Amino acid sequence: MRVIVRLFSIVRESCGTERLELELKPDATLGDAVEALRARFPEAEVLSTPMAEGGLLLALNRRHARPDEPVAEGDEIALFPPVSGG
Amino acid sequence: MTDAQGTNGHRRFVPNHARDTSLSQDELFRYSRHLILPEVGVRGQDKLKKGSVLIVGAGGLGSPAALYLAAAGVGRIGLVDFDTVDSTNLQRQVLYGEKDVGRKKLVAAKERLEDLNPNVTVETHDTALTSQNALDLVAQYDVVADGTDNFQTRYLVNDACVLAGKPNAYGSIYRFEGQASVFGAPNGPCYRCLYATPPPPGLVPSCAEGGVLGVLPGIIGSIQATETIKLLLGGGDTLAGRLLLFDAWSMDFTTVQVQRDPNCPVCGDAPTIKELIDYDEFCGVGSDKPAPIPDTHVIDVKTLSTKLQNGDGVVVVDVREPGETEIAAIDGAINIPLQEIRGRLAEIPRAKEIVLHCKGGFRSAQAWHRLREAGYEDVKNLLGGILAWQKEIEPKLPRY
Repeated sequence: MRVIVRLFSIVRESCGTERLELELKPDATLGDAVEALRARFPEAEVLSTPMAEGGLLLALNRRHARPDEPVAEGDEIALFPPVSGG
Repeated sequence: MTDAQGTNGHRRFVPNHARDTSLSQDELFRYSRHLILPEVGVRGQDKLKKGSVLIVGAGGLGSPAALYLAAAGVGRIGLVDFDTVDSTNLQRQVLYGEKDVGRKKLVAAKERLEDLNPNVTVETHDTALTSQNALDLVAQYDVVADGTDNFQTRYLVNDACVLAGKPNAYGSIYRFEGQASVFGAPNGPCYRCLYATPPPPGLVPSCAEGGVLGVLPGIIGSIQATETIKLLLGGGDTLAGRLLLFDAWSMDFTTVQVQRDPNCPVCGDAPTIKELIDYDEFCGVGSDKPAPIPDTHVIDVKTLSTKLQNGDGVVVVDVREPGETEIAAIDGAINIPLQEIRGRLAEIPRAKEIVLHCKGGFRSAQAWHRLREAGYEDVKNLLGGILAWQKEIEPKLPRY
């Protein structure tokens, strides 16, 4: 199945794109989507642990979601890294 | 319909409740555009006057937040900051002007806010917010507006607000993007529910490292002020339970529904954090300091200058951001920003002597370790970076 991924701030900069599509296996979870993203952008430090485990806000269809939640065809996944500037 | 109590000519601005209010005649005029709003009115304006806010950080976010909250008549405004105004602040920190450069931020801020609205009390806390003083400070105010500029203070403000039961009108910025929310509201999530783990130090650039659009904190700080006012009024729909994401470059607002994490260590069902902790340690502050580089692998600007003049074949790699190199650069240097260096090793010849530099030497020291890990043998770090180069070799290069 195909999902849409939106990337923000340093994730977008590290991956060089703000939007992409991912092909996932039918029973994939949000965590699998992040894993697939990491495989596509191995140089992106921001997708590596520990960021991917509690350091990034994951959203599924504009709702904060946990990595074990299932995703469905056409879902929109978004990754929001923290920012600290003031 | 009103008892105007001698306010000739302005009767219609003085609703029935005016006789019960603590607002003076001057305040009734000053806030008239608020008083007309049914959502605010005299009762609401009274709440603002009796209300208080602690603004943590009097910088890019704190400036517009403080200005609008003072203008709106929030009775007591506390400011926490220990910094001095410098000219690089003026691009976005609209509380300050040219005459304030070199002055303590809080001295200048108090002056400006009291000029804007003498009816408000401005309390200055000329200190860093710490695990020792945070709970005491937060407890003195109704709402907290977090406008700090680092992760350790963000976790500290969050935990202090949750422990003290105070809502936190949160805002944060990076380049063209901002985040805003209200944390610590009853049943609402806190910052830790969204970001359980702080990023490794150095991964997320600060405004000084990554740059920031000057107007961006104006927008996000104004949203924080708006949320603060609604929290004090007890009305409207606040951002509690939502994270607002703003992108100034694409002019896009995205809202994400967020919820309290029952397992959150500070606001969850069985909290494990019941008092403030060491936030530098929690965020690993200091651990990003690059390990020392051996003397054999550093070079000073005079030696580098001589090598370049002699045509020794040394390759200079500038690891700053492209915008920085446009201001001042060493002739012939190749520009590969630190964050990109691991992916662009092909551009750095292995057989030649490599000299890395940045603005002051910190980022290039990190780059040095990355190149060594990648197997580079003859790689040196330029002591003092472009700043030293400007001082000793090319004094006419612009500084920033």
